[in-house]
Amino acid sequence: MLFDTERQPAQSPAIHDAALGKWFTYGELRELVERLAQSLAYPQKALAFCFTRNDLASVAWYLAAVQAGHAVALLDEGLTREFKAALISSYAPDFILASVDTTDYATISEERPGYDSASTPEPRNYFWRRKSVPVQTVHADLSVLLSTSGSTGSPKFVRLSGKNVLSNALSISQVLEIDAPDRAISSLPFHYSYGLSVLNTHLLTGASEVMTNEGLTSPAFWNAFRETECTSFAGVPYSYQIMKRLDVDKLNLPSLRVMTQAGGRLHKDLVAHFHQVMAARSGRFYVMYGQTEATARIAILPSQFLPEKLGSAGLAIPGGSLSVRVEGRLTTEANQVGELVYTGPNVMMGYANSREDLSLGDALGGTLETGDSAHFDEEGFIFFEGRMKRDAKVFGLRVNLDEVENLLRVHGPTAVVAGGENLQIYCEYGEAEDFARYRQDLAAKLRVHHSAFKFHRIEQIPTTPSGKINYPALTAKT
Amino acid sequence: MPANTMSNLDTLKSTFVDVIGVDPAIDFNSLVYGSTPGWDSVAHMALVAAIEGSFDIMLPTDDVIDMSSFAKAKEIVAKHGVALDA
Repeated sequence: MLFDTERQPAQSPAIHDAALGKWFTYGELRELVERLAQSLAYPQKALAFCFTRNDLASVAWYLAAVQAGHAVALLDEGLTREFKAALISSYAPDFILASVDTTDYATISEERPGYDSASTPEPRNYFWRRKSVPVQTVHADLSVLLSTSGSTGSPKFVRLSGKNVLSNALSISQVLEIDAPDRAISSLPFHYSYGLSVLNTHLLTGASEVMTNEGLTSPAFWNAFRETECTSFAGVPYSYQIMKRLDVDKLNLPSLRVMTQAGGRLHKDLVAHFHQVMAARSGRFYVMYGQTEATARIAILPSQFLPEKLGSAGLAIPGGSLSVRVEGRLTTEANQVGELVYTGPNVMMGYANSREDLSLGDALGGTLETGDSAHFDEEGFIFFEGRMKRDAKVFGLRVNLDEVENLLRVHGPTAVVAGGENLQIYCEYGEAEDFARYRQDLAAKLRVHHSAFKFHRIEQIPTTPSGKINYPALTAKT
Repeated sequence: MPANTMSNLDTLKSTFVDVIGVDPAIDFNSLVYGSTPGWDSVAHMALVAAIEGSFDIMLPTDDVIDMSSFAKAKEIVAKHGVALDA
């Protein structure tokens, strides 16, 4: 198994499936994973698509695919049928693994390349095996594939090796001091790099995690948290906006000791607020920074540096190092603003856009250009200036602006820029009623609340002298 | 007063229509958090804010979390002194 869970005592609790209301020990998890891995025997290293929910069955499939030596792509079970079918058609995975049996899979399995459905002795573990063994090979080091944007069904994946996943889990659990008595709850989907890192760090250290599909605004989520006595909570900036409104102290969570935040910049006021909330209960609050391209985590601000280093994303995780590129030169000097560059064992092998790309080896050599602009302070703590890449965070989800543009271009010339928590969409076409329809359509496809999309009719989208869309000019309008 | 109570219920319904994007002709009692499409945690927080704004009330933590259906929302709003029933 990826994390050598043999080391964990068989009787220790590993995973609680909240929907089943049942705990699974490390011994039970090992047995289940072993049985499932046997059902994934294949003539060569295979590609498995694992459509996940936050449940035991999905966790077991993920671990089984890795144990069987295959590469596993973790995907959202909630993707629309169209997105699932398109991804399956373009990657032709050897296995499709799921924890629910929907008509989606039955109909998709009849399309290219064709699948036989197989049954396992386990309830809630469904899988389909490809009818023909492909000629393309999967690179020996490739272990996990994660989507670069959770909800758009983008065929662009981040390629991660076993070493990437393991080294990152190890570094994170060191800084966060995760140990066997600790217990997380799946406040984030585990096909998302942050959610996956919570699972991986807890399995690595013999700690436990409660898997639930309930959201933060559901009573069932907080009942599960209280009843299973969870000790930590992980959230993106939007989660913390919700938590601020809900009020941690009124939620009655005596077992809560640690809160972690990543997935975008949290406003300083909220960092200060949650630091105080946790300090008052002798707990810890961690601000973290990372990217799926670095498996999950790149930097963490250890909680003892709050409130002193308020606004900082902290220091590189153990085993990694950071610098900024200023006028083509990498430096760690204080107060120099440039693109943040990270080097470490958790930097991805590269991207994949097609099945053929899965045979590729490491393309980055451990160095990642983050696309974020930042500077160091005198003591080497990172502070962000802004984003250099074309993507945005809306309600905690990373949305690639070019993908949204592509979805709308069928209607006419479109340009999309980020503005606060919203996407500002400029169209050279359409009336209010068309925009209402496009908005609902985007909300359904991307599964983002429709209020995130602000449409504007524009006579002509501004262009640069070279004919490209002038995004800064549009950003200035918002 | 019937006219006034109707309008409070209509206000609550139109808040759901605006925030969740449901058809105004829908059976409102069928709306449930987590299973009604569009009513996710983001919509939920927007709904809470909109209801607080519409009726000038402030919902405590327990009510924010308990408001898991349209029927529950009616109960909660009524509990805060907004008359909905004739």
